[in-house]
Amino acid sequence: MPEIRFIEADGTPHRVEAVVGQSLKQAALDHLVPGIIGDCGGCASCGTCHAYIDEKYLPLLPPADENEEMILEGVPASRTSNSRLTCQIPVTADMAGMEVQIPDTQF
Amino acid sequence: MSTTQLTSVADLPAIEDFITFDDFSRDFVEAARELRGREGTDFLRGPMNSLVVLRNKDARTLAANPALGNVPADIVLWMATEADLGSGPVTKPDPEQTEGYGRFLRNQVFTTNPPLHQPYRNLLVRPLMPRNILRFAPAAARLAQELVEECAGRDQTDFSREFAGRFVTRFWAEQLGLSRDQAAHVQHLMEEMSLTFLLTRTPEQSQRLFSAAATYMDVVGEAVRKAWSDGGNALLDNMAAELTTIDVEGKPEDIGSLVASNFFDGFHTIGVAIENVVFRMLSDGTALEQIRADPALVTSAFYEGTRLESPLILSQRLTLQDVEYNGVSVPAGTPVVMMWASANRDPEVFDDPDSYRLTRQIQHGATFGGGAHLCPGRNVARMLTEIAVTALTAPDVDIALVGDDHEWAAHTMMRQLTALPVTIRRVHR
Ligand code: HEM
Ligand code: FES
Repeated sequence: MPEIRFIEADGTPHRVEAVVGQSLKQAALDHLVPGIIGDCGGCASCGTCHAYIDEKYLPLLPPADENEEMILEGVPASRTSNSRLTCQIPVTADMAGMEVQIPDTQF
Repeated sequence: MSTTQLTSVADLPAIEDFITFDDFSRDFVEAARELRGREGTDFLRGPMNSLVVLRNKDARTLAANPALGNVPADIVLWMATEADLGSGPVTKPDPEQTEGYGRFLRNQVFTTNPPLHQPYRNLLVRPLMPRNILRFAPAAARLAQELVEECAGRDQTDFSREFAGRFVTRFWAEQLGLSRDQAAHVQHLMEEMSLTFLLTRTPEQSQRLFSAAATYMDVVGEAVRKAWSDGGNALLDNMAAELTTIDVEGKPEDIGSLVASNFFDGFHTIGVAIENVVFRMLSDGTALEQIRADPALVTSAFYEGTRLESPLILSQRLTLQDVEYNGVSVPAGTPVVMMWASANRDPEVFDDPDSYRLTRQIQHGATFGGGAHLCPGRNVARMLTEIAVTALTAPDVDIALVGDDHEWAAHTMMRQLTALPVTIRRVHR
């Protein structure tokens, strides 16, 4: 179970023992991490699971598809090169130690 | 789970084992509370062997299951005209009578399934994402001010017609290239088309609905086609351009039909949301003062008001293949009645679910459905409601309910008061 650090916009950290295979969004929800909402239940339809991924882990992730790009373009917080929808990222063992920064707003 | 433990939908307890269908549909919100309180009612069998879902977790999980698709237009039309829900007379109109209503249904994302569903849906999702709707905010704020001014000049305001309905129809008319006169016409048509939410209609009501739908499709369709060909409307240009990239059978005929069919909830349902949010705010002893003191609370007022009085009480999905869920086997082709308003008051998810709390955490709401069908209009519904409530709670505005005998419309899928008279005044504070 890789440990992932979710960091709220105000800096509050949350250490989460994530289950390999579940999505990053689900790992956050299962541990009641504030700021990851997940309105559409992981269907890449809402954008409320947006987060900023540790740059050095980006190459490990499956690339965002066209639909994810479209949703990310419209999220209310700033969209940056490390913006991703956490529901589209399956947890893998090599994510141990990864930091995920939560944006200041999801609505 | 082994298949022997599965219960088929046909073998589930029926709603009518607990409550008559007439009582169930008189006030769905009350009836759902009553049903949730009984043993073994998480899943019930509804009319036509449908699966009725009452619980938050089930509604949200099933909503995200790709096997639960939309109900195709021909089935919706059949349900609206021929299906016997056992709750009133069945109207079997001539096909030419329902031509306009059929066109209205056929062009809605709400009635599409894969492969058309996602590309068509995204055409609406993109312009209506939170960042992309900010450009509409100044126009909405201006219109809200204009309406506060109009209402402040009256002794009493019929909030539904003279504020909420007028606000949303004027707003969309401006964005979509309709004139003020056309906005007023569409507002009138919305009142007729809200008959679509009734569970059963008299032949006369059906006639009014079909005729209003045909006029609506023509008026809005024509105006939008003209505004688009005149040029200079980015919203229409972008949607029309994206429409040309969709190469799937069944896509909308043109930008006019696309907009008319899909922005119905913009012209109609956002108005209901504003009414319900304002009603809840004014019914609470302290909410108005709290929001005046801290305007950022409008966001909570929106979510809490629509959680408790979810405009679209229920909507249906259809299983596109066999589904097994929590011990229930749901054959392909089963209508699934998602009781969003019930999910929104589920005590397993919301502490003291019937109470109005501006401090509640905003999560797990079911007002806008879920999954890959989550309402594309939810962000703009919130923005317009917040802008309206902000204008109505400004320091120099007084707003109050008139009377205290409010009644929810019966036997309809739309949670709407029969009347909401208020007073709106300019004051010096
Ligand atoms: C407060 C206002 C509104 C409410 C309460 C509402 C509610 C809903 C609900 C409950 C669903 C069903 C989702 C599901 O099956 O999971 C839905 C779907 C939909 N809504 Fe809304 N809606 C509102 C406003 C709007 C607006 C303004 C638009 C368009 C401008 C819109 C367009 C749609 C469309 C196209 C769908 C079908 C989505 C799909 O199947 O992918 N709605 N809405
Ligand atoms: S949960 Fe909705 S986009 Fe990820």
